This record gives sequence, structure tokens and C-alpha cells, in this order.
Amino acid sequence: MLAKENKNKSPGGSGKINLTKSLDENVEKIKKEFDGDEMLKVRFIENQYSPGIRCCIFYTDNMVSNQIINDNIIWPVTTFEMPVVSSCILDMLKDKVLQINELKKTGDFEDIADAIAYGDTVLLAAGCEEALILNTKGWVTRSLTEPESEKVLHGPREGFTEGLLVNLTMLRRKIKTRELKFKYKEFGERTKTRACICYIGGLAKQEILDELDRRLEKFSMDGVLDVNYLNEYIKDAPLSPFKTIGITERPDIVAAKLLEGRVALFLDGTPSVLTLPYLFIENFQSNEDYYLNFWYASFFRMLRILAFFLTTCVPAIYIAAITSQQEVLPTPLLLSISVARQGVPFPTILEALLMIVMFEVLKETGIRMNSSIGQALSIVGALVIGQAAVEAKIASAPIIIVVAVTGITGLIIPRLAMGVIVLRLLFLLLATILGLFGLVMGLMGLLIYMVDFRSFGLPSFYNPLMGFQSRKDTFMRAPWWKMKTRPDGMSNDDVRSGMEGKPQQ
Amino acid sequence: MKRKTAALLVLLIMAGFIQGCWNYREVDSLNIVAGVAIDRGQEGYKYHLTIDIADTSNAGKDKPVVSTLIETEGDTMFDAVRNAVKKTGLRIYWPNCQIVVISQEIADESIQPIVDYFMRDAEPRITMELFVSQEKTAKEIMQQQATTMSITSFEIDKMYELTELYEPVTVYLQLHEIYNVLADKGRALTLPTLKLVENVGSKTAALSGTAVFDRDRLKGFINDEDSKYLLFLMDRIKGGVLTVKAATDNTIAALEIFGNKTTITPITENGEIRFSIHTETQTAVNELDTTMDYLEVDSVEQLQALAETQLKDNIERVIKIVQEQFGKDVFGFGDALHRSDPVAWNSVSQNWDEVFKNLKFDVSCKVIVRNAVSIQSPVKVGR
Repeated sequence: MLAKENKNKSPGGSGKINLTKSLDENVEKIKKEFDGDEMLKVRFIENQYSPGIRCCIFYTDNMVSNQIINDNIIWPVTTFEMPVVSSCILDMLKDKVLQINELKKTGDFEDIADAIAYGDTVLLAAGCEEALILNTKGWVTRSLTEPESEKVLHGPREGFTEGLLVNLTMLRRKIKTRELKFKYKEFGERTKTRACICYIGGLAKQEILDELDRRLEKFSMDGVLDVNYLNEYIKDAPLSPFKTIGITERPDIVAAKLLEGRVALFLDGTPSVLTLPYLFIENFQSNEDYYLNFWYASFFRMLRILAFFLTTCVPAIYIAAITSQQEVLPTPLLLSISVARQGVPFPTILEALLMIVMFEVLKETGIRMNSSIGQALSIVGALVIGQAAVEAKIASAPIIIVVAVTGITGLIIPRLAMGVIVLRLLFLLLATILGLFGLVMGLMGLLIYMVDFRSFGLPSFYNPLMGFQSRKDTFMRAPWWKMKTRPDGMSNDDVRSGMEGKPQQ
Repeated sequence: MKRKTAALLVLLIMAGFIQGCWNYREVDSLNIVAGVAIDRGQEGYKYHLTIDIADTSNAGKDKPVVSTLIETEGDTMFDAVRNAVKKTGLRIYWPNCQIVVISQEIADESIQPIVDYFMRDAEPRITMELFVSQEKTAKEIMQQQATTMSITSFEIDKMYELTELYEPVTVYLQLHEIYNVLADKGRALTLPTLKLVENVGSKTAALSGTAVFDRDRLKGFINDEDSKYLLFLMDRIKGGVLTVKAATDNTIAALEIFGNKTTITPITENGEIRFSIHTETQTAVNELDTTMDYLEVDSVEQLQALAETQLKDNIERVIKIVQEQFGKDVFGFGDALHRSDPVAWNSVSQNWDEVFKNLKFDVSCKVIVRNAVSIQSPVKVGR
């Protein structure tokens, strides 16, 4: 829709072009339009019985399936016995000759150009002012692998790839109902990236779909390479480091979210898919929670919530306890920290900042660097920065422990990664200035900030109307036969299962 | 958005004002006080403090934290504490101070200023312990090397905590209790005492009985053996050992105390006040020094009877000592009377000390042997 409105001022286009009856003229026009693009292949074909039937096909090298072009276009056009018709032969080709499942007759030059760029084959025929767009897409995609960032021990292992249709197929295979709706969109004036809004008709709320449409309406960029381009534009609380839209690379997660009444946004060229609305508790949920024993899942979910507090508060508590409120420390601990601090030239806060930044550097290096030099990194990280810094009295041993605890617990909740770093530093500074009191103030401020959080009209952190059923999937994950409803306010139909609520032994 | 920013600002500004004590101070800049000894000052000063610092400056991997003593003087406690900064240049940090040792000379005069200072000052904890030194000065106690720990004050604190459970030798009180007892009309203050004893050629500090106070002044000492029966009378026994002797004066058994309940009942008859004291002690035979089997059904009763008589004798003896030597109600009988019969108490509270000296007591004891720990018969000696 968006692309159509901007059609006439589409970048790269040189204004309105009309096809004529002359094949050669038309071919020249298209060649001129794609001037400098040597991937464009042009091929003239002629029917062996009727020399008057002369066609030309255009396609982009390697984006098409050569077999389809050879067997289903070139072979029938060249070898079939066809009567000579005076009028345009396109209708005859379309209906009787070409063995292509999807084709379209058009005279619109923009459509033709877009089709060539997208891997379709365009067929021009002598004496016709229109052209046929033939579906011959067939490029090579990456095979389905498990996403590196969302690995699981149990449960489905496939992950999305970069192909939009491949991804939609994966979802379709999981939810085989005609209620599953797909609505195509296109973003990016130059990249012309296809996107797809996907939801289950009977579940997704119309308000949420309308709100999503409204937010996407004004999006305009020349290139869209990943869903995050859209995410940052349409998310609630755009300046917040916390997520208000979920991102995942796993079909099973997307399917589960759709079944709860959420809406998914797929984008061609990226395996990441947006799901919305996004509740704060989703930061602590893992798809594996639902595939494993519920005791196990509940324990680890609570551990993740604990990890959130540890990773944000531990450095602040340490700083407060040893620089402002030493009274809270038991005597032996106070003495051993005092001993460890002897001879360290920096104030504790500087030490803490130094080590926290150092840890983030190591973490970032681990992600960016060539994976074959990982061993070097661990040696530098563990030995040089940990041990040597303590022995050289650059940092004291307790701060290394504090930073290690902070770092490790931070890794349990990757979806909160950015928010956690911001909070950690904020709390650290507050604790330095105001001690434990500052930390408590910071936590209160965080609570006030979070209570107001919304995602597409749904309270994401605290929902005062939340019923008991919805809580069965927050701190704990109740057994499946207990979770009879979907999250409150998320979908049109709250009831998830028709079970009696009792397991059948 | 505007409201949110305003709320945030208000929170932050408030945070600065309603804070109590806070300050950015590094742990290694603190002189962590472990204990303090208070003596009469020289050169005209009233107090001479010997502050036991847990010195972390030279400690490390193989070197423990050691005691470093700092001496300081002043006319008031606070004055003396502040004068210490002159010598060290480091902040003196009180919250970890566990013990205060007071010399007899100061205790003879008054311990009120000391209790006041430590209760009032923001840093010291109200759980610290006060001791009276039985040596000439309190400083001597601090100067002794600890036997197993590296810091004398912490070792004394540990002794104090553990003896209460294993072998009580004094009355156990913390600063906040001392503060309350000091104001109590129906009970006289008692403090634990310390003295130096020989241990493999060198001297070390040891707990040794109880100091009895007349209001805030030291009156005298009760030895450690008698202090245990003091605790029986105060219903503060948490553990310990009862030694049982035969008529021939040989020890025959050691009973470990698991629990004890002492009931004190004041009885007022025709204007005369008597106290009925009943103790009930749960024990186990932890040592049997004779081949005679005291663990049979009949003989265990003999053992219990022996223990009961001896406990009763000891309790009566201690009451007598306190009545005759000190004439001070260290047990809190006055409080017991106050609780059960306020009218009677009001009539005697003005001269309670005199009344106490002539009080009559009915003591009855019950000792229950519950088990004999790991072996069920005496160790037999064959030919």
C-alpha cells in the first residue's frame, strides 16, 4: 500500500514508462532502466512452427529457478505448435502454453521492474503492449538451523531463516487452521522489503491490529534490513532500554505467542520476528519452560527473577555496605574486606566501575571476535584481569567476586541485557552518594517507572485487573492442565483449554 | 512526562535530606575497634583508654589481622575517644567493639558515665559486653596475647559467648540489659569479671566470676563456681556441668545440663515475706567415675537424689554468701515480688536491701537424668 502511493517517485525510476507494440523497443527500455546491472539476463525465444511468435524473457541471474525457466517457459514456447494470431499472443501463452502456477499480465512498468528485481521472470511478446510476470523465484537460502542465541535442550530445534516465505511456511506447519491470517506489507523505498503481519483471526484483538497498522502507517525509510528498524519506530516507550515488543528467531515461540492472542510481524531478509504486545514477565520466560517439568520451570523462572535483582543490585549493595553502612557487615567479613582493600590505591567506586566496564569489554569481545581465538580471550580475561589485577593491587579480590556474580547473573536474562546495564550503573552511583538508602530510592524509582509501562495498550508490568489464572504463568509455571486461560486482556477468547482442570490418571 | 520528571526530582532531592548518617568512607581508612580498657587517667585526666584495634594494615594472605593498642586520655569518655585521633590520624570506628573492660578503680567510683557514653553514642552497638578487671588495671587484660585467636578482645568475646552454653561462670548481660538493670530498684547490677591466669608459661585473660555492684559502684566479687548457682537462682542456666559427689567426697558422675527451669514464688504471710525456689534440671550422664552401675532403674534415682541434695546445698550456700557479704539483691527477687504482689513490694521497696538480708528461702531441687549418652553401662575394670 505504502509502496504504491510512492510509486511515481520511486527511487531509481526515471518517470512513467509505457510499453509499446514493438518488442525490440520494449526490450531496450527495460535494458536501459537496468543499465549497469549485469545480473539482468535477457533471452529471445521463437516458436519453431510460427516464427512470428517471438518473445523475450528477463530475469535476474541466480534469483530464479533455471529449471522452471527451461522446462516451463522456454520449452513450451519454442516447441509447442501454435496458431498464428493477429492480436496479442499473451492471453494464449498465459492460458494454454506456459506451465507456471502464478502469473500476472500487466502493462505497469514499475511492476515489471520490481518483479525482475524480486526473482520473477518477465516475458515480453512481439506485438503486445503488456507483459507477463511469471513466478520463477528460486534462490538459495540458508538451511534451517537452531538459532545460536536461543538454544534449548528440549523441544523443537528449528529456527527461522532469512526467507520470508520459508518462515511463514514454518509457522503454517505448526498452526494448521484457516484462522491463521497473513497480511503482507512492504517497507523500504529502495529495499522494497516484504513484511507480513500474522495473527489468529479468532484470538487477536482488533484494537491491537488497528494500533499496529496506525503505527506502521507513517513508517518510511529507504532500507529495512532487520525488524529492529521497525521495532524502534513503533515500540512504546521509545527511549527506554527495556523491551516493549518481543523479538525471537524460533517458530515455536511465535506459534505459542499467536496462540495466546498476540500478533507477529515477519520481515523478509531476517530470521527475527516481532511479537506484540510484550509483557515484562516475558523477559523471564523461556520456551523451554513449557517443554520441561513445571517444577523445574518454576524454579528456574524464579531464579531468573532473582538474577535480575542480583545483577542490578549486587555492586550497589557492596558499595553501600563497604563505603557508607559498614555497620551491616559482620565483623569477620568487615575485617577480611578491609584486609583485601589494603594497598589498593583507588576508591572502591572507581574499582567497581573499572571492573564492570572491563567485564562488559570482555563480553563484547567474546561476541565480536573471531571465535577461533576464544582461548586467548579467556586467558586474558581470567588470568590477567582477574588474578593479576588483584596481585598487583589494582583491584581488590572482593570486587572481582562482585563483578563476576553480577556478570554471570546478567547472562541468565539476555532479553533484559541493556536495561540491566543501565540500572546497574544507576544504582551503583546512587549507592555511592547515598548508601543503602540510595539503592532503595533507586528501586522505588524503578518501580514507579515500570508500573506505567504499556505495550500496545496493555499494561505490561503491572496489570491491576490481572486474574489469578494469568498469574499461573508468571513467577511460577503451573502445569498445563491448570492453565486454563490466556493472559488477561491479550485476546478475544480467554479460555485456552476445555479440560476439566484435573489430570486424568 | 512533566509530572514524571517532577516526581523523580522530588524523590532525588528528598533522598538527600531525609538520609540519616551517611558518608563515603573506605573500609581501609577505618580503625576497627575490637575492645577497649578503661583505667584511671594519669596526669590529672579522669580516664585512660587502651583501645584494642583490629589492625588490618599489615595483614595479608599468610598474615592474620593482629591487635594494635592505642592509649589515650581525657576528662570525659568522649574527650578521651576524640583525643585518640591525635595519635593515629585514622578514624576510630566503634560498631565492631565487642568488649569494654573497666578497672576496679573506675568501677569503685561509678560506671554510670561509661554506660551513658556507649548507649548514647551513635556508633557502638548496644550488644557490647562490660567486664570488670580483677587485676590492678584493665590495660593489663588488653595487653595479653590471646591463646588461639589473634585479637584479644574477640577471644574474650568468644569465651563469654561459649561459656554461657557450656560452663557458665558469671552472669551474662549485654550493654542494653546493663542499662536497664542499673535503673532497676528490685535488682542489683552484676558484671562479669576478667583476670589473668597462667597458661603454658605465659599469662592470658580468663573469665572469673561476677562483680556485684551497689547501684553504680563496685561492691565485691563472687567466684566462678558460685556464679553458676547465681544463674540457677536467676533462671538463666542454658547449659553447663553438675558434678555429683558421693558421701565419701569422691566424684562419681558429671551431669551435663540440657535445660533448667527455676520457679521463684514470693509468699507473703502476716507481713512476712518468704521465697519459695524450685529448680527442675534436665541432664544426661556424661561421665561416670565409678564402676558401680548408677544407670539401673533404682540406682539412677540414687544418683538424682545425690545431685539434688548437692545442688540444693550449693544454692542455699550462695544465697547466704550474697545475703551476708554483699546484702544486695543480685537475683532480682525484688522484681519477682514487684510482679506478683505490688502492694507488698511498695511497702518494702524503700529499704529492700535491709529486707533482703533477712529473707527466708525454701529451696527445692529436682534433677532428671534423661540418658547416658553413648554407652549404657559403666566402663568395667577387669582383673
